[in-house]
Amino acid sequence: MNKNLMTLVALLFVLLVFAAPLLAKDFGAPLSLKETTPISAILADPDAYVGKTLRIQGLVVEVCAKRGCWINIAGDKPFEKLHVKVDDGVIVFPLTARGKTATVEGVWEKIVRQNEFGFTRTKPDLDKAVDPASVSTTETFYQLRGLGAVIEGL
Amino acid sequence: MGLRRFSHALHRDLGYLCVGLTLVYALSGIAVNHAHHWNPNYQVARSEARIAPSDFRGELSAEQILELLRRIGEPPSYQNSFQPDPESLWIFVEGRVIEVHLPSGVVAYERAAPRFFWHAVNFLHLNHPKKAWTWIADLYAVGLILLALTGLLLLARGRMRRRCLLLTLAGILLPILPLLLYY
Repeated sequence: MNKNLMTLVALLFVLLVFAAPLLAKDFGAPLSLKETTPISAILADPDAYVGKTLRIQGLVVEVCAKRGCWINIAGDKPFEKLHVKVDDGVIVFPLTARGKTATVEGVWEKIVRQNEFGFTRTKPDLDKAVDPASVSTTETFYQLRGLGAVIEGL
Repeated sequence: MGLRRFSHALHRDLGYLCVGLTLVYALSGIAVNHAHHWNPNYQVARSEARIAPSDFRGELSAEQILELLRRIGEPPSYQNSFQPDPESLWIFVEGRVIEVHLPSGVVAYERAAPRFFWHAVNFLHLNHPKKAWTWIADLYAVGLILLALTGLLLLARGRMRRRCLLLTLAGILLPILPLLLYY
């Protein structure tokens, strides 16, 4: 291969690698719903929305740092946030999405987990004996299974 | 042109064509294989400071947030803010998140910046662009299949043949053995 061709190939490689990220802003499937459901309405009665496809909008406040496989979106009322989980690798949210506004569509899920040893969200105090009766062996949480998203200002 | 000669030409040209993508996929493969050791996409820098505890509580106004930024020593502007609870405030400024715990005055800074080279190659490897990139990646995969097959057609004759066959056998066993052991 002559020198000019080698330079051209090298330039194309650099262009390919560094230009591609500039294209991304939409994630997953295109958004199709017209109506946005307020996050506060979903969180106020989460069971009413289970299995429904919803479109939500809000500020991205947290992003999965390692795999970009979930985001938390602030609600329209104070101190509220909603968890959006996407299939690993299918949608990957960038860490730079924090502080940006996202519109997400997905299916609202209720997840019930059981563990005979119980669930705890706080670090256990090893000096204190744990009363097994005080530890719940069932954990229920809700999340939006994200199918598509648009993040503004990325 | 005989089959062997054609395979040689195809193998050579595909090899050149696949140079860039092979480097992208191989380098990114190593990077994401070790995602449990490091964050292959972002460089996350964290630091902590402490200011005097604040008596602000509940839903804070924009003026109160600007006042807190002034106390921290930050410029008086921010993009967005969020309060996970009445005693905490997260302020989003360009490229950073500043978390303030109001009762203790603990301030945590976090800056996440994409790793210059790795973020780009992982972006391609994991097919985040979708769209036309999916087709390019598919074509590359077809190119690799052809490279493997034309390689087999180029097995050396004479004394080197035995060595080439052994290497080919090792190459075939390489994915099969872990499957037998771990799958």
